[in-house]
Amino acid sequence: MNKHSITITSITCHGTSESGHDEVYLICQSDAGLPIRIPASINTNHPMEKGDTWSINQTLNYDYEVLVTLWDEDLSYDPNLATYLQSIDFAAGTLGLGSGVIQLTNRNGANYSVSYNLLK
Amino acid sequence: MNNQISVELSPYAEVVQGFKKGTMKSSKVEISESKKKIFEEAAKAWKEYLATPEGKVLETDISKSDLNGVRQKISGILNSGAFKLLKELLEQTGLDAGSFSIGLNIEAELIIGIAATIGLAIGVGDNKGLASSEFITVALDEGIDEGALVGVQFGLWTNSPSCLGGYAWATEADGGVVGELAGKIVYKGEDDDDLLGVTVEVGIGEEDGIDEQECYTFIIGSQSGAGDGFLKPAYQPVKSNFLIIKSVTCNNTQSDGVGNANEVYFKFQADGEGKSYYYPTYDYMSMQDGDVWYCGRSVWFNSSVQVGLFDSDSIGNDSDPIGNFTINLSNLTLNSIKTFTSTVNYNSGLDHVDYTIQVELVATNVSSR
Repeated sequence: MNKHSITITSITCHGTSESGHDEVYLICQSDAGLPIRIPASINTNHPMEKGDTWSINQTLNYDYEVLVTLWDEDLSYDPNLATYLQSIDFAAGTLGLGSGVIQLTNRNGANYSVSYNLLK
Repeated sequence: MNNQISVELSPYAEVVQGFKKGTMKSSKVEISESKKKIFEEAAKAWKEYLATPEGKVLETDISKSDLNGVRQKISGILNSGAFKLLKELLEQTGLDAGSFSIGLNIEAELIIGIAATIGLAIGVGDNKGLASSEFITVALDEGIDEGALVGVQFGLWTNSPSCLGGYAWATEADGGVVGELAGKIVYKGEDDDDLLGVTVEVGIGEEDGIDEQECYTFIIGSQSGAGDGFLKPAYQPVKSNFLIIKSVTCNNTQSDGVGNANEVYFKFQADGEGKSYYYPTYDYMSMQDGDVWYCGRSVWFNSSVQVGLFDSDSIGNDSDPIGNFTINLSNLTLNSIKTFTSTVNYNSGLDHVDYTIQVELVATNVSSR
């Protein structure tokens, strides 16, 4: 049983890293373990442009921290060709229980807010 | 136990997490006499090979190899005299197959169990002379041993060697493929009933009892230059202590002549052993003077972590180091953030390069995951 659980409830796009859409997927890695891909199926992503909200509702369990990385999948499945957008490190003890929002930006124009609910 | 190969298989294993179970694929298929003869000879040759001095140490060799080592081993296996007759059979004209493969089956326990086949495919029949390919096929399994060799897989495929990649269903063949040889019928995709190929498996030790498997094949290299290439691992086995590289601060960029920003990524190695990990695992973060990148990559280690920071002018090229940091456990205090400065001065002429990293020790004396 892990000590902590957090639900990534949704992601809202306020700006993309390229013209048109970002083809967004997440890699979530708890305690440096085996990463989980969201969406789980290979060759899938969630196209997002300014104003879009992606409802995720994925709960992640961890003891020390979970690192959530946002990627833009430019071509068919090959992570070597993916574009790094930004990341959030949900570390134990750094957030209060309940809901919150974290904003992520990069110098290529990506601007996303990630909504979460820290369960324990 | 082979931790290294388990770690190297981990990025391929990520894809199986979205797999489903169960399918309605037919488990019977007509196999031509020429194919049966090839499978029979392959199984016979494999047993002969295992009795050779090289074959006798294969299991031990694999238990100590990294992924590259396994690839090299596979290329060498077919050069053994034991496979002479098999190679003659594969040379025959009119064979109703597009490629033949030999792969080593390896199991790994990475929270979930993974069955991987690391193999080599060559063109046969009408595809004789076409470029060969190297591949990794991964499927969910109840892994029994970390990085353990459990057998060999021979395959005859409809496609050419470079077209074996992608998603497939493997179904246990009813009554075996040839005689008592355990085998699988492989279909391309969930919605496409096209037959991709037939495989037979000869075990070392325990047999694999899985009836149906969803699997994904990565072409990791081919003579034609096609292929996905190697994926980089992010998974790290547990060690005694756990830290987080909380952030990277750019005080002054390296002037690389390409805009005002550096394309920053770092790689790290714990305790001077095993392969390096990258963050971001691919690509980079653009940084300018005054930027703070809250990267948050965590690291298991026993006593030290070496971190190299790079400016990626060309992706995957480590040619522009911009920071080098040595983190010793003795420098850290539990639940406290410490800033590290580069141990190497990368200034050049008037070009002043200054990056720092901020590190928090999060846990000590951890026993297991």
